[in-house]
Amino acid sequence: MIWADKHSPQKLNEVVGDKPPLLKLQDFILNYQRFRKKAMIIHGPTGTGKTSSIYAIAKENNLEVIEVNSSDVRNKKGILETFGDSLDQMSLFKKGKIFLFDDIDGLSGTKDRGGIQAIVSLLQKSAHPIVLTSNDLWNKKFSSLRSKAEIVEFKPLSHLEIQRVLEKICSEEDLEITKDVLKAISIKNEGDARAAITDLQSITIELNKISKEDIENLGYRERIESIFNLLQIIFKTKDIYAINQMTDSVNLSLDEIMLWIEENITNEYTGEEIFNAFEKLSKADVFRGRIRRNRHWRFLVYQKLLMGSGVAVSKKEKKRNFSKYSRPQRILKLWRSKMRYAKRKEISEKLAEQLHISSKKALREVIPYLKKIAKNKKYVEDLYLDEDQFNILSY
Amino acid sequence: MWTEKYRPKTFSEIKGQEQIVSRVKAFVEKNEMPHLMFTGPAGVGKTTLSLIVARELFGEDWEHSFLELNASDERGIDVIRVKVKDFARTKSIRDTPFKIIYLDECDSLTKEAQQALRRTMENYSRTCRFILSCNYSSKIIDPIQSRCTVFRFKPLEKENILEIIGTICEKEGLKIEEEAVYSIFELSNGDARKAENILQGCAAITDVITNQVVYGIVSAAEPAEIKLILNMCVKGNFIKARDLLLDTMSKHGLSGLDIIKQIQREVLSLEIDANKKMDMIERCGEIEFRMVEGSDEFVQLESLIAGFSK
Repeated sequence: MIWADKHSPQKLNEVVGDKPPLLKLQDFILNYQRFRKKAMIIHGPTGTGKTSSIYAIAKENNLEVIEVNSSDVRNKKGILETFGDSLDQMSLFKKGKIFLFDDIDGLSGTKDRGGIQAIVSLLQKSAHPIVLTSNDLWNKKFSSLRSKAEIVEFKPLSHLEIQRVLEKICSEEDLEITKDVLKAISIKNEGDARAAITDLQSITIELNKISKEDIENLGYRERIESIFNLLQIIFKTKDIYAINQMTDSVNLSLDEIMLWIEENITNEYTGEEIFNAFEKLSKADVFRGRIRRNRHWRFLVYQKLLMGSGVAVSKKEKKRNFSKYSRPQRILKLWRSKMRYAKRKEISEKLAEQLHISSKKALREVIPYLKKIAKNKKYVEDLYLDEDQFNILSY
Repeated sequence: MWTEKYRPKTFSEIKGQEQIVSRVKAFVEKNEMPHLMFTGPAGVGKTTLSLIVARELFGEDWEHSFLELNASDERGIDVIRVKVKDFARTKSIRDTPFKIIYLDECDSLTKEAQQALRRTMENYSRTCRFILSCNYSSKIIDPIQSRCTVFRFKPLEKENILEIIGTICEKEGLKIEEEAVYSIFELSNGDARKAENILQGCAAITDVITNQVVYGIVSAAEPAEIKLILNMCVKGNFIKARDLLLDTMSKHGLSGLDIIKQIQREVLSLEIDANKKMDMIERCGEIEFRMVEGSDEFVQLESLIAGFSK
């Protein structure tokens, strides 16, 4: 069984995180008749206990939860079928009911046509509290919903709060895990309790004892690595094996990763190291070119090894300082200039026709002078440039 | 643009290339012409002569019987073939013995494309004459050369360029220093198009053209950034050099190959030890090779200048 479910809170006071939003939620569910708005939206990032707290309140108060989540059909018809009849009926076995629309962000504009309006229309008729959860409440599509519902925000969990959850699970599972291991897992999954619990479970499945290194290994195996972690290990260590494995688990293409590496070489390396690193990147790029031209996919191995591990071994000694990595700038810059360049190409095609030369030649040999010649407007009248083109020239 | 305004319209207006002009003129007078091939550097009159041939042969509406194609722009021989076919098929209004297809920059055709071109030439030789133009005849396969009468154009002589400059200045009412005239000639390398472009660039700024104005125009048109970049490298400032390189490429829309060619030229004039210079040249060659093999030009250039900076 998945621990995140197995150890989900049974009572509201077991739910970690800020108390006021939780109490507000409980108040709404138990005393919804007093509320003018008949629905409540809980919003906040994943793993902050939005859904768990609803179920915890339901258990504690013997209420039935009727849930529609992203796996169900949520167009108008589907919603009315699920909820329509039970709206004003009492629960058969329990004291009352909660209607839960889990993860309303998943309502798609096309497939779930009318879904949001259907929910809005249910709000008026319902005899039971309706709770909705969302990660992205401020999305435009929810505007009609927002005005008709109470809103409660769940904040990301601190690593200390997550650590408390992990400690509780360890004691329930009878695991002996040192505090600094739990701390490491908590920090790594800051904000997201579910991810932390999943990580904890993954390492205990395969290992009886857990050490700090296991946590590092775990990350590379089980989670989509962030590019920052990869850059860190490339620039700080010479661990070829780990780099190679980690490259696969980053959720970016090899080409994108290469841009990230390229961008950050000079943040970490100096002098000879820079040269060595770019030498490896250059060779990685040659293999990439060969892959493209010859469709020889086997070369991917070399591209990957050269750009990751190759750059890693380019350093003289392991780096220990803290570094901030930056997002690749070059492509954006080149893209912007390409827009300008496209205009210039337009001009050169015009020139080519009138001057009996190729557009390439016009671009290379005529435009540099044309920029000067265009200072005298009458000289370029015969080229029939439009204003846009003229401005590009004088840029 | 003056390059068009002052493009010669008759045989007698052409400066230089006297022998070629008189032979081609003889073809036109006999109303009979083989396929021609004009080879030679840029701006020496290859296109001009072809246009005059068409005008002399076909008279006023010469454009109906003359198809101008540029091998480096018309992507692929197939495009050329279709255009040639469409053109050769229709009968022109005027009764001419043949039509002319002018194919410029043939050097840029691959060997395979040239083979295809040869077939096209044969297929339409009853109705069409080809004038092929290129910078280097050595890049054209023998079967095509053997089907053409080859004319080798030379860079224009000093007196030709001076005459051209003189004529234009007179007609445009410009004053130009003698020294400036010589400078334009030097800078143009016998390329009339370039000479006229420089001259017009100067005229756009001032009516009195001095030597200084000429050099101002030319250096602005041929960016000096590369030299700056190399100097930054030699001083070991890789990051600055790289940033300027990226700016230069995006500002001028230059390709990696454009840049590396310029770098290679500039390296030769750097003021550093000859051995180091040769190391840099070798590195240029290696990186240019990788650029052709690879896929990301900028990574290759970064690698090049990282090598220069270490």
